[in-house]
Amino acid sequence: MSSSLSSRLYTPDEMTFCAEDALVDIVPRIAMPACAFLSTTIPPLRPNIPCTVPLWMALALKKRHAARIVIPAWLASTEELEALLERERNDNKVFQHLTEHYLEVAHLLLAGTKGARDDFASMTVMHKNRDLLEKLRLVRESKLNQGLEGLATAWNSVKDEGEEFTVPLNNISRMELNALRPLFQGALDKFWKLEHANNTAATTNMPSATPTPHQTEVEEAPVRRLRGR
Amino acid sequence: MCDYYDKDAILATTEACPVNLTHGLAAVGRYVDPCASANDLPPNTRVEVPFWIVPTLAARALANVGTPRAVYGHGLSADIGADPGCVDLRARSPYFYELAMKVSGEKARQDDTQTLADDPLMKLARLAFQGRYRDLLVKALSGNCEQDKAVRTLPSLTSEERELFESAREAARVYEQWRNTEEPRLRASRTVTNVTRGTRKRSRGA
Repeated sequence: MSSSLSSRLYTPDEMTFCAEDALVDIVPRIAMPACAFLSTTIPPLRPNIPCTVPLWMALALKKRHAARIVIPAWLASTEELEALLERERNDNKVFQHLTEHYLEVAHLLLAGTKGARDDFASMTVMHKNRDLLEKLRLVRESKLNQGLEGLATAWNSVKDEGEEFTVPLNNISRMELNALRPLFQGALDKFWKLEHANNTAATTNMPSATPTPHQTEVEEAPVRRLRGR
Repeated sequence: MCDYYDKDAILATTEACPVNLTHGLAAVGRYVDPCASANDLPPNTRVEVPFWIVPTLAARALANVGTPRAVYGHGLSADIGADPGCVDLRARSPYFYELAMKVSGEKARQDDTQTLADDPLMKLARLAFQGRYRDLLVKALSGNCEQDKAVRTLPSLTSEERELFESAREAARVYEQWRNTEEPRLRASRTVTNVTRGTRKRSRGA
């Protein structure tokens, strides 16, 4: 149903909510026995012993000053981000691997009030990494858009020469994909529909079981007079 | 039947489509065609009817389906060949693609051919969408900084394109908005908050 293109979309806030299940390391400042929830079990917390908990738990503990969040390696080290950005720029074909929630996790950790900005090595590192991440996002976005633009010409070449064309979508994070979903899906639907119209249009509005009657049969049939107005 | 619930597919059937009556129509001449001189239409009359009645007429071999010239004629293929992005398809028909698919589907059934791919009408529609898709994409995704550009594009888009365009813009807008806000806007509902505060009864009574 093309009429519900935008209702198929998750809101970014919902995506962020889902991303809060990602696991992060924390260094607790308090002691707490293990908690068993329906979907997950929080290990027992002991002061200064690092352990792995879901992000929502980490942020809640952080808010109460009950823990320090260990920033994930991909976000913590400037060198690693720089190398990643370099690879992302140099390779036009594929996307570099990042965790599928990288945008959401970074958004939560870098948030001003509720985030974990002070758990970075220093404020300079934090600002630098944030800028690098933003650059990385932009590079990936433009790469995606290029792939989408190629779609129309690709569709032609696939049909005419049997050439294969792929829009690289591996390692796309959830948020990036979600922002593109309506356009991508809608356009592909339309391309497909126009290509395979005989399967869709020809069956519309018709009881498909009734075969087209022959000319002669109709001529033999009595003419039904319609009542005049 | 995948477009049974699709409102575009339904609305597209209200577009006019010319048919050639093989047997004529009795007593409905003025209703179908207000300019008709007689109320009985003789065989081989060319009339314009809404598309939804065409499959019924064609299935009974009462009419031959023609191409809506107002939509797909008048040098359209030349225009589309030159620059598909500049053609005002909406002025021709708000359901340009849907109607093309339906008309050529009906024609294919009438001629008993299986493939629509070579139908000039479908070729035209495909060419138009391929050309316009790129424009649509660029303008939808860069819409945030160039409001006026998007607004200028909108009138010439058909309903199907417009829907695609708006949903893409909406997604891009929501994403942009999310990136610029720090506080999550997802909150617990009032009922939940009231239950945890133990004030549910009071709020309900008030």
